[in-house]
Amino acid sequence: MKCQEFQERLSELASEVELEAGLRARAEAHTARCETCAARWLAQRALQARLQEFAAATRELPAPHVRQRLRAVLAEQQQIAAVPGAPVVDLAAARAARQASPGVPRWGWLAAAAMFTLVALSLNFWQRLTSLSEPSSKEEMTLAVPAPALPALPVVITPQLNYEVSKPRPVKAAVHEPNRRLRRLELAQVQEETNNEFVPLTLAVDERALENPTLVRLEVPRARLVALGLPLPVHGDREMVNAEVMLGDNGVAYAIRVVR
Amino acid sequence: MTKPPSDPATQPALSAENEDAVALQRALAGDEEAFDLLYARRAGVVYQFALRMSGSVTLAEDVTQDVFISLLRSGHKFDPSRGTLPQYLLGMTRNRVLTLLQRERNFVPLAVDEGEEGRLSLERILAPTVAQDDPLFDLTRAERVEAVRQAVLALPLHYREVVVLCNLDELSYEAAAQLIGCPVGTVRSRLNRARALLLEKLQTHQPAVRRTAAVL
Repeated sequence: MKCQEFQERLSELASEVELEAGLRARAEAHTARCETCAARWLAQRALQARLQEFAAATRELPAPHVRQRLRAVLAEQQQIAAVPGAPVVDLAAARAARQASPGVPRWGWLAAAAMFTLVALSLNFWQRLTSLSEPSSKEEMTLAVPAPALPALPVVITPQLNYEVSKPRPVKAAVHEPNRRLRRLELAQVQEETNNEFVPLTLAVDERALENPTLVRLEVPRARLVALGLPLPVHGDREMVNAEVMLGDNGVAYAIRVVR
Repeated sequence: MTKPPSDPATQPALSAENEDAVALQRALAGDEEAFDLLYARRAGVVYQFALRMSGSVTLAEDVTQDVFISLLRSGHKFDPSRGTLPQYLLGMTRNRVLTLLQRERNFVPLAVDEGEEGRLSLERILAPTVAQDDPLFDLTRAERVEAVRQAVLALPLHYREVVVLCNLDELSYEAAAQLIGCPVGTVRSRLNRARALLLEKLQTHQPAVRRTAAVL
């Protein structure tokens, strides 16, 4: 026997609980040659003695109140057994019944649970798949509707309107005035003031009336345009400005813009 | 001339396992005498294992109560072909003790002074076996027992249970391995390591014992 094997079997040698044939003899032969292992065996024997002393000192029974509490549980069992028709537990019969008709095997419950989980996941997946083809939110539905834009209008002059219709005054007609530099500045200012965007004259827009609108070109005082809310400078308000008015089929003027 | 079959002398004595099974069946049916017999035979094993593992009288009593209540309520699940009733009870006790110790992560070491609730006093340790007319012997033995108790309780749980099962409850290595659910080699190696730790712990405690004896 070597020291490693002796170490591995030391607890058995010290407790002497399970000693295979020849083990003790081999151990004694080894300790006769190895002082270290002999000392370890001696220490383990002393430990074993103390453990046995400890075991003897602690062979106790539980306090009586534990038995009293258990008797209360037993009394409950007796009440159940005293009821007519109450099942009397028979260990042998219960075991035989389990073996004869095991009922639903455990794997059956597991298979049912797995099937239920699969069905639930499939339904969830199908719902997600169908929801992708529909608008996902009200906001998207709102954004999908394009903002109404004013249609491109043909320029048509209709003489039956009540607006002052005059020929547009060419800009060059004012050039012969003696203060040409001042006039050029004014013209530049006018050109800067003009824009091609329509300014709405009313918020009540009738889309059907604007399906075929009419655009009327006319000359109006600057002051009138300022009063309508166009962003024009106030000075020179008596000056006439060329403008285009958008009329609906119903004759209502819906928008106006200043033209060059 | 053959003896009549009704003669008790001819009938084989019931083995301990069969006696346990019969007593359990009758106790489950509400037989108080059968329950008392079962309790008297097996409560000590349950209580002592719980006490040695935990060091707490209160915990050991609670575990004993829980184990026997479980036995009364679900004892029909016990199958004698799979093991004996003491092994069945010890398995339930081990599970319950480990659960409580893991949950609480503390234990109450035994105190030498008297009167603390839930602690095993010196008198209770010495009362059954020690002669009262030799105080030095009493004190020395009590200190030795206390030192071993503290050393055992200081072990990690997986080392402590093999010491309690194999060295204190005197279970075989195979029975302990089956109870714990590990190979026999694992039990052997754990026991070796546990005893080495115990020896180391007790050797550091030994000088205190000598000093006490010298004073007296």
